[in-house]
Order: sequence, then C-alpha cells, then structure tokens
Amino acid sequence: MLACGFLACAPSNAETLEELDALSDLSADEGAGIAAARQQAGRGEYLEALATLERVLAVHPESHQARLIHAVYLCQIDDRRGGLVEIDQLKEKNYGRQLLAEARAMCREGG
Amino acid sequence: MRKSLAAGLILASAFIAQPAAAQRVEVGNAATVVGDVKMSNAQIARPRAIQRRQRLAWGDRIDTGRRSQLQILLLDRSTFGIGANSQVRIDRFVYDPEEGRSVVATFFKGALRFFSGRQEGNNSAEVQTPSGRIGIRGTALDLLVGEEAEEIGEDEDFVDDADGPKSRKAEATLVVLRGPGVGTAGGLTPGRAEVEAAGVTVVLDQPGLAAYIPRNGAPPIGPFFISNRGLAKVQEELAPEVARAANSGGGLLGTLLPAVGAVAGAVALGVILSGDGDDDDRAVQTPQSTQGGNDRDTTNTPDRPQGN
Repeated sequence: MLACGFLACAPSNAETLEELDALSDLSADEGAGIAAARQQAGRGEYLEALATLERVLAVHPESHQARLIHAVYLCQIDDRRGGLVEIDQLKEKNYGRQLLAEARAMCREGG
Repeated sequence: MRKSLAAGLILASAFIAQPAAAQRVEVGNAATVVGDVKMSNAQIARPRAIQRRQRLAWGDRIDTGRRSQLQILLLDRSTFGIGANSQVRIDRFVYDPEEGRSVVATFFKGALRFFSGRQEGNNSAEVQTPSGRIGIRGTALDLLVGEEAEEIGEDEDFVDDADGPKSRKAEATLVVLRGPGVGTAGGLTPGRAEVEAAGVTVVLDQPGLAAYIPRNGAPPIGPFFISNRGLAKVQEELAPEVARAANSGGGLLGTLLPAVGAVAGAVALGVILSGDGDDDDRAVQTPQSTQGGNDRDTTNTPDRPQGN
C-alpha cells in the first residue's frame, strides 16, 4: 500500500529530471521498486520494468522476489534463454521446486 | 501542452548548447549509484564522486570502480546500466516526446546494458566502442568492452572457429541483443542492433544473437547465438553483486537459520508477478543469503537458441 502511495506520485511518462528522481527514489526501496516494476509491466512497459528491477537489485542484490520477476520479465520480452539462465541460478530452497517449475514453464511459453 | 513545452525546452537547449560550452545540457540522472562512481567532463578534469540523483549532461564521463555499479536514467526513460570497472561518456542526447529520441554515447571499457525507454516516435541510439560502432533501435542490449569481452567472446565456439581472432584486450567488444523478440509481450518494438567495424556490419535481430569485434580494425564476427554459459557470464559482469549474493554462502548465520522453500512452493507465480495478496514477500524471502554454487550448470549451445 505504501508502494501504491509512492506510485500515485510517480509519473508514467517522465519528462523532467524531477520525475526521474521520483522513479529513482521508488527503486531505492525494495518493496516500492518491485511494486513500480509490476505497475510498469502492467502497462506493457517491460523494458522499463526490467530497468526498475535492476535498480532494486543494485541496492538489494539478495532480493529473491526481484530476481525471480526479473527473470520472468526477460522471458516476456522474448529473451527466453536469458530468462531461463537466470531462473536456473535461483536456489530451490529459496523459492520451492513448484514455483521454479512454474516459472520455467511460463518462460518457455513466452512469459 | 505540457509535453510540447517540455519538448521545446529540451530541443532548444540541446540545439543551442554545445557539449564543451559552459552551459550544461542535462539529460538524465544517476538513478542508482553503488560503490565508487565518479564523474568528469570538460569543466571537471579531476573525477568527482557522485551520488544518486546526480544530474548528468552532455560530455559527462562516468567511471565506476571495483564492485561498483550505476544506472543512468535518461529523460525518455531509456537507461544505461553500467557495471564495475567501466567508463562511459554521454556525447549527445536529444529528446522530443512527440518525435522521439536520439542518443550517442562512447563506451570505453567494462559492461553496459541499454534499455530503450518510451516507444513512441522515431528513436535511435548509437554507442561507439574502441573497435566499432553499435546502432540500436528499440531494444535491450548488453555490451562488454575489454578483458571480459575477450574472455567471454573467445570462449564461444563460433568465435573460436573463426580462425583465431587475435584479440586485443583493451579493444575487444562483445555485443548481445537481449530483446524484445517478435514474441514479446506488451506490443514492444522488436529489438535490432547493427554492429559495425572495419566497414562490415553485422545485424542482430533476435534475442541471444551476438557479435564479437576482436580489435580495432577487425570486422565483427557473427552473428551467432551466445551460449548459456556466456549469457550467465555477461549477466555477472553487469550485476556482480547479484551474482555474488547468489553464489555466496550465508556464513554461520546461514547454516543456523532455516530456509523457507516449502512456503515458497505453496505460492503461485502469478501472485508474485501481480503483487496480489499481501503475503508474497514472506513467500520468497529468506533471512539469509543463498548458499553454495549454482543449482545446475548451464550447457553450451553456441549457434542455436535453447529452451524455445
């Protein structure tokens, strides 16, 4: 919800430096950054969603959610091999076998 | 009205000012800064440490240190993700929200990932490296220059078969198109990159296609589908801390704290992707770093994509 609060202020079409700062601020927080990426993906802005997740991961490299969603979004831009390579690097103990199997299946179908 | 005004202002300042002039043409910010990241330009000869939100302008050169990382966010929301030990300079950026965007950059060494931003209008990007030029249209693209490019490039069977490329470490350039492919979601423009060197152009138009320029004066080798191992190594160069976190042990704490894989397995992927439900954070987070090496070794298939 907090993330949505931030998102209400975040521009969907940044055209000023201040708007870029707002996008940067969002991804400094793991939860807000992931929520922003989901929202961008919901608008079909997958490249921007991936960039947002990479900002999150730069600050929170151990974010399991961000890593999984990043891999799936790669598949959704049709970089299925890249997505599968990333999924193969995720540890089953952190996600569960079923979830990773589901991610692989989704990826092979194109995300 | 607001868009037109923004476009007018951006274009006016872009056309009037020159990169070396005193007036800065600010075109983006440092959206993420991790570790040692410095900026220099015609006015700032001695590289100066920068923080997140730093404004970036024409002519600014960025240097990242060891275990450092930066993402440059441009006004059209295109991004340059820069890995460790890298150098890049923004030479020019012109953006009109109605007409499109043009960006020119020089990448001297290291690892770079480009994501194009807004899809509207006529967009182009060009990146110069020590050995070639990469023209980019609507894409996600990875670019390595230097020792790691040489190491990964020469490890590819397609390059190895090209009769000894005689690489030069400082000039070796590896380019990998990551997408979007024709099967992309979201109606994105399929990506395309033209890798040009020594009068030869290699076109990359499918995710996973790569080209390798061994040195200045040599034509690009390719296109070829980069191996899964090569892709993983490129990813490591772009996000070394993510790779380190993935491969690191959890230390004593890691051995003492239980993992929560069983819980994670009970959560549908769709919930995680959509963010529906408030419990998804718990579902995939553990209290410690992951342990051990990769769960599985990826196999090489140098000249054909896998898993499609």
